[in-house]
Amino acid sequence: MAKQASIEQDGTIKEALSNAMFRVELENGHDILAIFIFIFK
Amino acid sequence: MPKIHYKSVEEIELIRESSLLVGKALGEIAKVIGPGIKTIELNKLAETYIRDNGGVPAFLNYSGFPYSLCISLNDQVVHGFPGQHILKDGDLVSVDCGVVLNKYYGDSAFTFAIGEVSDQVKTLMRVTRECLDLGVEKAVAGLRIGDIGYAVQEHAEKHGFGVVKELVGHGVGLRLHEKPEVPNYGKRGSGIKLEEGMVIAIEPMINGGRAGVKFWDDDWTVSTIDGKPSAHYEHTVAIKKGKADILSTFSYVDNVLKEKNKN
Repeated sequence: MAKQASIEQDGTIKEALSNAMFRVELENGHDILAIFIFIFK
Repeated sequence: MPKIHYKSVEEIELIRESSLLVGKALGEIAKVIGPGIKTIELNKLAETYIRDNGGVPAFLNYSGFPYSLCISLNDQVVHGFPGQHILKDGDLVSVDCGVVLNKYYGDSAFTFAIGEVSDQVKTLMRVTRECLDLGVEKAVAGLRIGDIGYAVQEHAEKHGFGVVKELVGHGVGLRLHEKPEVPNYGKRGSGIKLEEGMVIAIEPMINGGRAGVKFWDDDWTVSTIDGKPSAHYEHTVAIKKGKADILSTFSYVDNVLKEKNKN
């Protein structure tokens, strides 16, 4: 079963919000809402 | 998984067992596939066959996928839903199947022509299968992911076909989709190094026309933007030194198709 390609992009944190959410500006200029995810190995 | 899982020799044998069951299930599909059969019947057949042989259909409920097979018709690329469509002369059908057996996953796909198809479609099928073979040839320790993608892309594009880029092959074994991603395009010598212990699903998705695809509202089905047909073949492959170890098999399908063509 084919997998959807994931996209990796660099961004800059513009604002820290509550609940581990951040406003991030991507390298293409778009603002997104990002959530911080910690993955346990 | 955040990192690549390298499999032991024993684990690779278990993945081989799972992949063999996929190959046999595709063989069962090959026996009955033809004009007049509904795609949902193929789904039922595969599901029953897998369960009768001690396996579990890997796709069923995978991220909510509602069926045991992906059946993609004509301009559908991958992840098509089995349903009430009755196969007819001229259809191009790709069937993708996965199995979990003893906790290990196998994944393989084959594209079938129903009745008579155009020469263009026959060429698309042949070239896509060759793309898989050429990609597999590069699946050896010491080479890189980009070498696989380059081989697939070069062969498809020199025939004027489009290489789908939004979907990729993938690591496989303990889960259906693992790292790394295995694109069907790339630059030679680029990407992560292929090492013994890696097991990947190589799956060229090649369009008869342009490469662009669109995603349907059912959250799954992918089809070509230009409406031209698309072919898909997939093997589960263990990376080894010198020569790739193909864990899945088309021998069951090929034998059935050879018999059918005799008559």
